[in-house]
Amino acid sequence: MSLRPGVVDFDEKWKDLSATISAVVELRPVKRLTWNNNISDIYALCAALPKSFAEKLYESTRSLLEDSVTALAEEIIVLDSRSLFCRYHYSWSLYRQGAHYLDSLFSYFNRVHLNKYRPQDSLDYNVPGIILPPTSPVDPNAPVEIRNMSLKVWRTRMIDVIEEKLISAVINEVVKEGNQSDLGMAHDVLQSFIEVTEYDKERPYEYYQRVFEDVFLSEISSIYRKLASQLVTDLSYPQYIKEAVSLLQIAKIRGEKFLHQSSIIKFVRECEMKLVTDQLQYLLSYVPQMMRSEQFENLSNLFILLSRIPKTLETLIKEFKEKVTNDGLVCIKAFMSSKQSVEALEFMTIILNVYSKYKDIVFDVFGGNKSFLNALNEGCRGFVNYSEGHQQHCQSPRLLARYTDQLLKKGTKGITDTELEEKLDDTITVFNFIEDKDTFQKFYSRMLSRRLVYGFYVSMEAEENMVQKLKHVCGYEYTARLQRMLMDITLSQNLVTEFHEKLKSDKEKETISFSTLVLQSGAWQLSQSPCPSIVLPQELLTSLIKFEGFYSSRHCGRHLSWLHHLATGELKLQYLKRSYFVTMTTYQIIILLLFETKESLDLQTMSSWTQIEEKELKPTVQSLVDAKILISTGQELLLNFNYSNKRTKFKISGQLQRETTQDIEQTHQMVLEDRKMFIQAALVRVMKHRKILKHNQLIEEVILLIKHRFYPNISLIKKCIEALIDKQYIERDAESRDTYHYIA
Amino acid sequence: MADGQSLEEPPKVKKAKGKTPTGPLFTLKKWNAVAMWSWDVECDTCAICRVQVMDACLRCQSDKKQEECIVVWGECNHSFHNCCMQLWIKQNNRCPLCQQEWTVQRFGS
Ligand SMILES: [Zn+2]
Ligand SMILES: [Zn+2]
Ligand SMILES: [Zn+2]
Repeated sequence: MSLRPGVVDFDEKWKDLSATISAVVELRPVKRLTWNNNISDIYALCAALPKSFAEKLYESTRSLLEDSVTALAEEIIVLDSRSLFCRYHYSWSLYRQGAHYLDSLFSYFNRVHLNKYRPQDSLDYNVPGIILPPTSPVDPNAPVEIRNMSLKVWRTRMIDVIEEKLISAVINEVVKEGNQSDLGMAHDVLQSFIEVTEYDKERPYEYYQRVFEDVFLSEISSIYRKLASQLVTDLSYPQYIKEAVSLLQIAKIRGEKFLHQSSIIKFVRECEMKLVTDQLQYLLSYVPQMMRSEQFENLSNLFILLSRIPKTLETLIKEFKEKVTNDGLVCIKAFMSSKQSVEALEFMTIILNVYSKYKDIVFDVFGGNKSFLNALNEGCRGFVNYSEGHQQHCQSPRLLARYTDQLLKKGTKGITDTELEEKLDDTITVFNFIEDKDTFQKFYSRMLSRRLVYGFYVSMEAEENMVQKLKHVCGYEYTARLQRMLMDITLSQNLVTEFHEKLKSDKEKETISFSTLVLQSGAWQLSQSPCPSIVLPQELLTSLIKFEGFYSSRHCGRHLSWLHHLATGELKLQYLKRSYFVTMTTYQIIILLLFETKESLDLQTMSSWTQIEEKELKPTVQSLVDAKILISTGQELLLNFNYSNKRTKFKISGQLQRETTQDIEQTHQMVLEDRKMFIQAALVRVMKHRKILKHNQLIEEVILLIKHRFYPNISLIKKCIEALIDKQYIERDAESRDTYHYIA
Repeated sequence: MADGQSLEEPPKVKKAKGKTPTGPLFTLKKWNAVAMWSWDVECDTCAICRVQVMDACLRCQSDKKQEECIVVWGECNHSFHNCCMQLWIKQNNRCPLCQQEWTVQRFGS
């Protein structure tokens, strides 16, 4: 066989070639020798002299394929849906493979002959062996690679012809509860729509979308619309949402099996639209009821449905928030009305129980969704800030401070550092819900004052830790005083150490072991000494004067005032069978030391000798009688010389440091006074910045500045505005009375 | 008190029941006092910034430098935040309260 170009008889070669082509596209076997001869024939035809038969070869091949595919289409179109589907699938799978073989049969033609139809600039790259990216032919009717031509023939002679029946057959197959292999077949069929236009790199899916996707989606839309309304009538509400969840899951899984990647999401969206969006009113109508009766399984299903559709969760979120608030309110109210004095621990337990119950629900039912977490916090705010009447103070800030106090106080039995840390974090959780953070601050600092002064605190680390946590939520300013208090304790300890060192170096003998706290006034919430002119025993006075001398050598311009009602000491009782070392208050010490010189004393004498006022004296004496150290004859008091105690070292309590309703009311009053200052400062800040402002706008801006600290009361803000007008910080506009000017 | 002595004492105490025994009845061993310090000033409020002198001036409060804000006394015995006075004397070297020439008497520390 010669590869030299020469004269060729087309008809003769074509006879052999057409037989092979027909065999190839039907995947019938072709002998090796025939195949090789055919390849030579194609070369010969293309290279024929005087004129190449390439174009004639191409046209003849095309019309051969056209005839063959047309005949096949005529056979297929008359079949019933299922057979049509199967037969198309089968025929296509043969044909696409055939087209591939054909391409290799015509490789010479593809490689050499088609070059002249390619754009000039791509010629350079046409190196044999390198497959070029197919470029769109300049002339739409210009010859293309044989494979692509074959696929185009399939498109025009097969798909275009049987399109309508084929698509409805495919839809029939995919919507019925067909088995996996049917879905696989459907996938192949759909793939044929893409493959037959694949060479068109610019719009590869256009044909697929036009022929199939549009029709399919509108069909799905109507199927699911009918399905949804059918299900709404046939099923109960819980069944419906459960069914919808599973239908959507199945749709996605099935869609992935047969659809092209680009259609899956569109398909699922269409299903969601019909099952969820179009039924939204129905779906939402049961929310309040489900929330009320805690049908969490149903709510979870509804959440799954709604979270697929943007902006449909609002109702659920709102109802959830209200549920949290209502649940919390029921617990809080029941608790408040059942108790005379409300116990901080129980109160916290109630809040934390409600909180953790619904936090679990957010994660178990609402997938840990952020909006639900926010709603949980909002819901908690709704009940934590509950107050019984409009005029009543909300109890929560005080009770939370009390709870924290109990945690940080000595004597909390067997609590590890980790447990303490967890519990402190719980308090911060609740603290975040509290609106009146200033009230909490006031009570907290009162209790902290007591813990520190009486030495009741578990550890300075724990105190520091808690203050840091509060600072983290509310910032530096909020905790500045608390930190100042903690610092005073440390400074005092250092100061006392230095004082003792100084005494040592001066060779001064100490009769008593003296220590003191030196606190910065203003930072602490401690009552002033009720008996300012108290007469101290000589030993105490000596120590005190020495310390004052030392202190003034350390600091300049400072004045010390002594809070003897807060001081304690240790007294050795040495008139009994055994000696006892008793820790007691300074007042108790002062009273007992009077008996050094007198056997018996009455209250009046005591009072005039010590200058302790009667209202302080009586409870002090009573506490010593209660401790059986003194004996009362009714008129007079005597030392109990028969006193005995199992322990030799112990402590007797002074006046009970119970928080009275009066204390509480007083603290609330202080909060109110601070609030006025805080509002006034905010008003000045806004006005200084704005210079001129209308009443409503001023109030709005001030609220923005202060609401992180407490929830402001409008009438209080109005009073503060009046106060600032009086103080001439601001003035009313002469013309328009609801406008204020800042006075620089 | 030594143990040797207490061996002798109990019989006396028993005999002298209700009467004053010999020696002191009490010894004070420890004392934990509590004091509050404040600036030794005539007026609680700084006349320049109108904040209590125990608190830092507004400038130091907003700069979070509370610790550095000290008090200053003039020869006239009037007192102010030192920061406030520093600014004041740039304008006018007289005490804002009594108009005397401002001379520092002492600084708080
Ligand atoms: Zn000042
Ligand atoms: Zn300052
Ligand atoms: Zn002056």
